[in-house]
Amino acid sequence: MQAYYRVGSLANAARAKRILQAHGVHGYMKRRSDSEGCGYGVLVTNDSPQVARWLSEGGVTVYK
Amino acid sequence: MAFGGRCDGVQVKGVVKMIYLDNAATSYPKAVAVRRAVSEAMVRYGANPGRGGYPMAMATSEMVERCRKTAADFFGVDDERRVIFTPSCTQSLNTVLKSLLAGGGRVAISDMEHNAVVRPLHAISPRYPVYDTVAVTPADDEATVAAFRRAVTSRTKAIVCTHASNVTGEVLPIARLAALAHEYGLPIVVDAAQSAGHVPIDVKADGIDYLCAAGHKGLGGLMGTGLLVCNGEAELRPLAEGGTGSHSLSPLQPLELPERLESGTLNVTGIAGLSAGIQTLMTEGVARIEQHEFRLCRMLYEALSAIDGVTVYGESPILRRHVGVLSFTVDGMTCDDIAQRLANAGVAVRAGLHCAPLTHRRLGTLPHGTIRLSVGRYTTWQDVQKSVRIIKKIVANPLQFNAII
Repeated sequence: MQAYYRVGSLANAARAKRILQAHGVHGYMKRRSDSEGCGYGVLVTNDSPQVARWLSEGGVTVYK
Repeated sequence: MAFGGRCDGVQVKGVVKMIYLDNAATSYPKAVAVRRAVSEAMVRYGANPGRGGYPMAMATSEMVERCRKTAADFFGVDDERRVIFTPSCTQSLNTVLKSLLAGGGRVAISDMEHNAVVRPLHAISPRYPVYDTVAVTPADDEATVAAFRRAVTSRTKAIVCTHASNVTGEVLPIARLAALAHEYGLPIVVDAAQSAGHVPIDVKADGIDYLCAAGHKGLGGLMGTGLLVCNGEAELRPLAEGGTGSHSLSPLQPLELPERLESGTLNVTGIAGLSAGIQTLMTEGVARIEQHEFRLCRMLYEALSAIDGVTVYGESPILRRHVGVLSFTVDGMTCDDIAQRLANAGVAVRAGLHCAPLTHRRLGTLPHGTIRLSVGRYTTWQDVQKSVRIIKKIVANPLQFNAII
């Protein structure tokens, strides 16, 4: 199941991708516009409940 | 100029043929890998990172972030977001100093600081100095630490210190000064312009809060690149606010690092080159380069000290206590004259005050300064031996402008 995790910046998206890769989860850095304007996130193809936790533990803030 | 020098041990076209002893100004030549990375970036990573969402833009964005991670790994930083790309070490220093003193206060600086430290401090307060200058003793760490301790007052906001002098090459004990700073709850700001890439630096292990480095000197990248490693807790203010490619509806600068301090378009080709330069250092080993440059510098020091009429400044080089920089003067001859004669003979050096009048005041070489020789990883034993021979001839023939070679 796909899921998009919006983060604060390009650097955070890169960090998120790296964190997920270390856990064997493939993510794509994505640029998207939303209510905040331009932004970045990571698109995860195989989402799991642990993804948000891994990102949080890795110091990446995920925005709703 | 003649072309066809050596680079990475290989005869390479396009490298200017000369004995280059001005690595303290900028390293030359650049590694072949750096030149390749820059060329590749101009073709493959030609989009503006952090702006578009199309493949080349995303590829460029990812390349820049990989470079950031490389720099973070090189300096022992866990969080690569604390590595900021800047146009220069000077910009890095300006960012930190102006942020730390935004609410007032003072800093303690060594008496070997470059104008990249002194001038921003003067700009903050032109009439009333906001810094206390500490007379350091490079050969005596205890004395240096004690001197800084005496300089700390209730108004001190930070200790600011060059890691290595750009005039004499002497290295200061930044880990011990970091410990001193932290004893007083202060951050330490380190000017690593002359040390990054020449001596091993671990920001975490050394306790450095803010490391400011030039991308184009020991790190082997292009001019127009620099790094600011923010291990400290202060909220640094950007020198310039602007577009970051994120949170664009807001008129406010993003608070998150690194975007807070990286407004506008990054020097993508420069960053690619810088990353390649750092990778070559990681492959070759900074300790190995340090040893190489130390041997050359010691040879220069001993050879020049033995010439009548030549004064070499600073202590005789000791491994880990010196980078590959030294300065000398010749009795009865101006520095500009000697530098010009060396240039005529194909030896590139820098004469004058080296943007470090504090150091020259300390050495007693104001107002004319010294001739500075600075070796690099590609400087050879033959380069140094030949340079010594040329200097000997210059000294022996003071009236003969076109002497030598």
